[in-house]
Order: sequence, then structure tokens, then C-alpha cells
Amino acid sequence: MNTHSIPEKELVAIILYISLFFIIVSVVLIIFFYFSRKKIIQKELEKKDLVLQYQKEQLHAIVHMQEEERKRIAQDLHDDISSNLILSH
Amino acid sequence: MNDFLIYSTYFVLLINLIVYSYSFFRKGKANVFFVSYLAFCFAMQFTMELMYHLGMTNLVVVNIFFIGQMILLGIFYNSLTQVKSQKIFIKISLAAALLVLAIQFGIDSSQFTKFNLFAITLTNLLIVIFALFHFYNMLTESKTYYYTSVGLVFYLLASTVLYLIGNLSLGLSDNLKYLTWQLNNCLVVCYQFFILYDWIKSFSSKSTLTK
Repeated sequence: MNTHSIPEKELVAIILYISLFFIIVSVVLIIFFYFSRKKIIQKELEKKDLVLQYQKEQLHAIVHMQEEERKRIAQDLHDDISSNLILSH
Repeated sequence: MNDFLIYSTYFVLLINLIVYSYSFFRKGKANVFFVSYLAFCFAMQFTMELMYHLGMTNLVVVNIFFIGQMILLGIFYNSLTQVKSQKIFIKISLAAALLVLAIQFGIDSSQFTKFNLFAITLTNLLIVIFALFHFYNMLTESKTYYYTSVGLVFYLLASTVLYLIGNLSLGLSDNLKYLTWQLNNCLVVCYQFFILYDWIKSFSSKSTLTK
């Protein structure tokens, strides 16, 4: 009996507010998922970049080392030959 | 059963308040705004209980509770976030919401004595948005107040609807009237347990007081 005393306006307002609440919440949630996906992907890209960078540096170091070694050997050979030349002279 | 639920809520809330205050005052770890939020909740619950026993309408307190909850949790999440744009958004939206609510209450002061649908929707929505900001920030950083935020979003999504139909349930017969509030009470207990679990996870160490 009491339920009839609730004005229709009130009922409509309640329904409207509830649907409004859920609409906004779902929109916010979708935006949230969109941005978090973006953030996660960006983080992963950064991680991959870091790995690539590291590998590049390693490669660079190896090449550099080889170059140094080559130079040293060349120097050694040179010194060796020149001392031999002096001796033979 | 009903009384048991209500008093267990008060009990868990009190425990939360005690353990978080302990963490805050003794160790300076817990967030000051969160502790004040818990204290505010406890004060509001206590006032509502008191007004109920005195036979007064305590809906005014419910309205104050929603607004206070929004302000305190807003400041709490504002202090947690490090991103400047989020801080600005939280501050502006808080100020705008308070302004709009002040205007609404100014125009129609009778809203204070019933469930104010607009205030409930606005305050709870803002808190959900702030909590989602926090979740977003937590994706790549360490987890702080993770379980509290989970509990908060869960509780707010469910209980907002229950509060919104509050005016409707006032007109129902007595045995049906309390059904929604019992459900709400269960949700509050769950939420409080989430907060307690968060404390156990992040603040309690082996030597501190156990629950």
C-alpha cells in the first residue's frame, strides 16, 4: 500500500540517477582500460629498447676490443720486424 | 543477526582505526588523510547510532558523511599521486563538486533530510575516478593501499545503488525495508576487512601488535 505513496517523479529520478551512475562508471572504466593498456605497451617497448641498447653496447664493446687487439698485434709485429732488421743490419 | 552485523561493522572499523593510528603515530607510516578518514567514518557511525537511539532522523549525518568521505578520500588520493595533472584534476573536481553541492543545498535545503541522489552519485563517482587514477599509477609502481582501493571501488559500485534506492525503500513495509540495508551492511563489513587486510599486508611487521 505504501509503495503507491512514492511519487512517480521520485521513481524516475532514482532510475535516471542509477543509469547515469553506471553509464559514467562504464565510460570511465573503458577509458581506464584504454590508458592502462597504452601504459603497459609503452613500458614493454621501453624494456625492449633497453635490451636492444644493451646488445648494441655489447657489440660495440666487442668490436672496440677486437680493434684494440688488432692494433696491439700490429704494433708488436712492427716492433718485432724492426728489431730484427736492426739486428740483421 | 541484524544487530550482530551492525556491531561487527563498528568493531572492525574500530580495529582499523586503532591499527592505522598505531602505524601512523608510532611509525609515521600510514597516510594521515587515511587515518583521518577512518576516524571520520567512526565518528559518523557513532553519531548515526546515537541519533537512532535518540529517535532522531539521521539522514542529515548520511549527507554529511558522503561529502566528508569525498573530501577526505580526495585529499588522500591527491597525496598519493605524483602526477601533476592528476593532482590538478583532483583539486579542481573536488572544488567544483563542493561548489555545486553547496548551491544545491542552498537552493533546496530539504535535500538534507532525505537521500540526496545528486550528492550520492556525484561524490561516489568522484571517489571511484580518484581510485582508478591510483590503480593507473600503480600499474608500473609499487603497490600502496592496493587492497583498500580494491575494496573501496567494490563497495562504492555496489552501495551507491543501494543508497540511491534509499528513498524508495523508506516507503516499503518493515520486513522488506531493512533488506537493502542488511546487504549494505555486509558490503561495509567486506570493505572494512579489505582495509584490515591491507594493513596486515603493508604495515604490520612481525613485532607489531597482532590483530
